[in-house]
Amino acid sequence: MQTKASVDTVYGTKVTVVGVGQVGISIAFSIMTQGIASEMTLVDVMEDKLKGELMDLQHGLTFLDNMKITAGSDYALSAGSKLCIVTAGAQMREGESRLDLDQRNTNILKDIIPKLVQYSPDTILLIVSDPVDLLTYVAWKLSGLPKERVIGSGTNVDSSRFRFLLSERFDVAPTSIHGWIIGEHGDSSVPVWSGVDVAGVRLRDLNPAAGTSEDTENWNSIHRQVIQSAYEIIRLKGYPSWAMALSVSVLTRAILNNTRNVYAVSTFVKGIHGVQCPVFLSVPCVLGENGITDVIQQTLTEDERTQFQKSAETLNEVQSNLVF
Amino acid sequence: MATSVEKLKTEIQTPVAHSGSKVTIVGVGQVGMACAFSIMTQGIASELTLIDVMEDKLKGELMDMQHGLAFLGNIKMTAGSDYALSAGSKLCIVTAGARQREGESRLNLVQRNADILKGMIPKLVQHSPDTLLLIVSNPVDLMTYVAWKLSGLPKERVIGSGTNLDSSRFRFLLSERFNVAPNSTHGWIIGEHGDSSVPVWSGVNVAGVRPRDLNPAAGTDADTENWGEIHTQVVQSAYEIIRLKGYTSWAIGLSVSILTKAILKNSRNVFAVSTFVQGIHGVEQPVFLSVPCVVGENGITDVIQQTLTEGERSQLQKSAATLNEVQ
Repeated sequence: MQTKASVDTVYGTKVTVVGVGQVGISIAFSIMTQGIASEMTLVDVMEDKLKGELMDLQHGLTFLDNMKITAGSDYALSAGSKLCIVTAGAQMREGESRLDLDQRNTNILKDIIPKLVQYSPDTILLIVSDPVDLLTYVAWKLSGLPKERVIGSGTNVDSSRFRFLLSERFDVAPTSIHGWIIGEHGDSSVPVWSGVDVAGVRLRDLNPAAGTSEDTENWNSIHRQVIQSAYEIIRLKGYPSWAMALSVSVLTRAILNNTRNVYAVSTFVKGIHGVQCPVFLSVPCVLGENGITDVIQQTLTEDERTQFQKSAETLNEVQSNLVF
Repeated sequence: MATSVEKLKTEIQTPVAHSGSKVTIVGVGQVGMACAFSIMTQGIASELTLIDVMEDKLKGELMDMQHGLAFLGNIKMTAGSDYALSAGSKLCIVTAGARQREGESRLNLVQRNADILKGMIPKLVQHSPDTLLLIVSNPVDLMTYVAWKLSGLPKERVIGSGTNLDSSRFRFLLSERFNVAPNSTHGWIIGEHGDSSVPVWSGVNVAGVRPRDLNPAAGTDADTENWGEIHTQVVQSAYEIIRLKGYTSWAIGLSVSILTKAILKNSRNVFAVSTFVQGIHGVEQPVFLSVPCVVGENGITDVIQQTLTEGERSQLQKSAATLNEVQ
């Protein structure tokens, strides 16, 4: 074989995934099967697991478009990443307070974030670790990056769950139903009922009470199901992985391909919907190669605004107790 | 009073109960779920049913996959322990099976797995009489034979995932040496999936150029470049991955999804899959082993006749004899 020129990754789309637990490795496989990145690096502390997962992924490459995959505990491997996805995080121990857990997670990120930025100064950070809104704030503080380049996976997956459950009631494809959940990812997320529609026909036009306490069709039960979903899935199969992986891979594609699609992701929301604290919450954002370029200003009801602001205040209090 | 849904939609006709390309996967362990997620993300099937005995796990996995549908083309998914859910499948993928216990003989494992298939295969065929069966459970060549016997289906419609995965590992490892994309490197491993698989060195090439043309000893004992080591690595891979991460999933998931795509779309691609090989390469026994096959909507339509060396032929025949004894 003749060699023409040496090849180094100069251009191309490189993604790093930190953490190869169920969520991290599902994200990696999702990105791989959908041909979203040309290069992917997996970083974690468990060397054997990393090596095993790397081999297993590589052995499937003949069935897909080629991509370069590396794995290891050395962050130098992540150099040159356009996007770094952080899934690493601690799980709550028995009897541990929320504040203690938050501090432990802050300490974990202290070890990860500066190294990622050191090796890829131009990278965008996508934080998946829970509680995602808090940890996106922490990651931003630790990174020194402009806020547009630190994004939390936020309520993108809540919105996807919402749309799937709505699609079951409407009996049309989930991608033909539109609906947004914003605010805090998890128990206090905010469904924006005015935005739920099929083919431009709003649910609120068909049923003005939809989502309120007067609603005889009880559409609100769908939002409750969304919140319960994560706990339910954990109870049934041990951990959530697939939906989260698809959520993150679609955000990855938007960033790498500069698609400028709109997704509900966690961003800096001081000044939005009357929020006065420096916190990260999910709102619909335009995503591109340089991160978040725009925030979509939805018209919220008084109730929705209040809920949103309340989440902001709670987050701000927790943040003020953290040691960086 | 009309509901919001009734107000929104006016029905023109009833939607179909089962769409054209329905796939059932039996077994939602790591392999089964990797197959399911592979099929889902690559938009290969329009309907997917998961069957197992663990109801909670089934429900949890179903929910988790469905919650990602807003990011993909729609696919109808169902899950449960009732085989009636599998009705109308074009393809049934069987991943369920027992794992070897400590100190268990191979023969004992085979008997346990045969009993598991007895509970499965007839039900699948009962609910989808026109289906194809794709067997993944190990030891796959034996299990494919057992599934065939239990199914009453013509042999062309019972396929084992076989050495499709071994070939993929082979091509990946070759691609690392050549430093080109894995799918620009060609190479076939045939015969028994696992320890006694047969690498066909005469077929290994990049852009039609064979290592044997560049190094006539390639793959033999006299080979100073030790190309044969690559085959050894392939055989070791599964054990290595199991040791490192506990199980293999992704590569087999992709291997199965690509076979699924070929079947559902009648693409007539060629893959190394386990098929009935009595009469091929001098095999006299009624066994299943992997050879390159043309795969389409009605199953295996052709077997590619490779020119094997004397050594390769005798290895295949030896595997056939061993399998026949166990059977």
